Amino acid sequence: MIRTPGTSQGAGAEVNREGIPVDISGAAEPGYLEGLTYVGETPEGPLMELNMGPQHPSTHGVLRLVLRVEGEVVRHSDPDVGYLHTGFEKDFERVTYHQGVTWTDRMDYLNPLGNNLGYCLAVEKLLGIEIPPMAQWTRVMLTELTRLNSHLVWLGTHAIDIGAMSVFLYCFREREDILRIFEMYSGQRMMTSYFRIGGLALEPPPNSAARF
Amino acid sequence: MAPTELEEVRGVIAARLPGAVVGFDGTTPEGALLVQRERLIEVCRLLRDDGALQFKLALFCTAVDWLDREPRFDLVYQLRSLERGTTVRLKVGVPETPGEMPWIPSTTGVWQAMGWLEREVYDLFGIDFRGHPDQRRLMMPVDWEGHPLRKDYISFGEAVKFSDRESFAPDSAVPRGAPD
Repeated sequence: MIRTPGTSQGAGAEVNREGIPVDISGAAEPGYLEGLTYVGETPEGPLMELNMGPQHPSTHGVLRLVLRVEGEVVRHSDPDVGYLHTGFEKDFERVTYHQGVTWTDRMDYLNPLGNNLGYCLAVEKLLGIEIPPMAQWTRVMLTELTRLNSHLVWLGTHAIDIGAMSVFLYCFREREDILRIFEMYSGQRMMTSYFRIGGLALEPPPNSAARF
Repeated sequence: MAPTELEEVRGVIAARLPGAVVGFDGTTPEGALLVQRERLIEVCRLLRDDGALQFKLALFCTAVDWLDREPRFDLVYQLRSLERGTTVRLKVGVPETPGEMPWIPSTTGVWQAMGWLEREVYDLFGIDFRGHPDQRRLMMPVDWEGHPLRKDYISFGEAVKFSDRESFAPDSAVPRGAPD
């Protein structure tokens, strides 16, 4: 079968187009189909268990909610949040502090330099070092730009969720300018790894302030 | 030497609950109060309810596995008082218990926000939070074996099964990152 799980029987759906169960005998089988399942009765009507995500468009792969719904009212929600758990903490156990920097970019791909900064500051605190003023200023500036970049994506995708396509396009246009600045400094648009323990990966490019 | 703020908090606890705070950890500039495991809940309630303290905001709870140290685990609680504008850190030593999971009383009765954080620590470190109303894994799949953030848990090197072959074993039998 292409569209229904391999364990499905018949045409796949046990609810009709109004969401009313047609035949729930198959659902009694445990793990048969993690769709809409009858779980009990409330004074107001039948209580159904509905699996929402992680493939649901609004949870885009990172969140699953096991909902108990009574008609259109959600009575209970059990969030399953581990889909974006990538085990970075464990990974850090087997690399040097310096190698760890590249992982921090990937913890939040919209805020790579912010994560670089948090990590580098922690290690610098452990080592008791203070970095040169120019590196400090560059860090502040680029981290603030990262924040703008992250907020632009938030705003754009949020607008898309309520159906406003043009806001999304404007946001991504502005974001692209910020990513070009990152590229100018580090050679990378997103996974920059530009902050290093003790300072920066590279000298800021010549004439960068003017090009900025 | 402890920061004055922490000394003040420690003074309040010592006056009301003598013996509950057993020491001070000065390895970081912020410092931390070392609390007896059996009296953690009393201390937490005092920190939350005392009019001069009001640590009502539970920022996080995490654990550290020291592996060869006794007690093996440190539970770390970070609390914030919006009234005072300060943060306090508690550390509780948790030894291994033969035959069962190392345990600590759950603070969910004091701060509900600790619920998920304790679930995470239970999941990744294998600490039993006694009295937790819903102690299930938070990050790892429900059928996962072991607790990945323990220092004696070896990541990498495990056989990965693919549906198109019988099994797949990594090139090296010695896991990378294995402790000596």
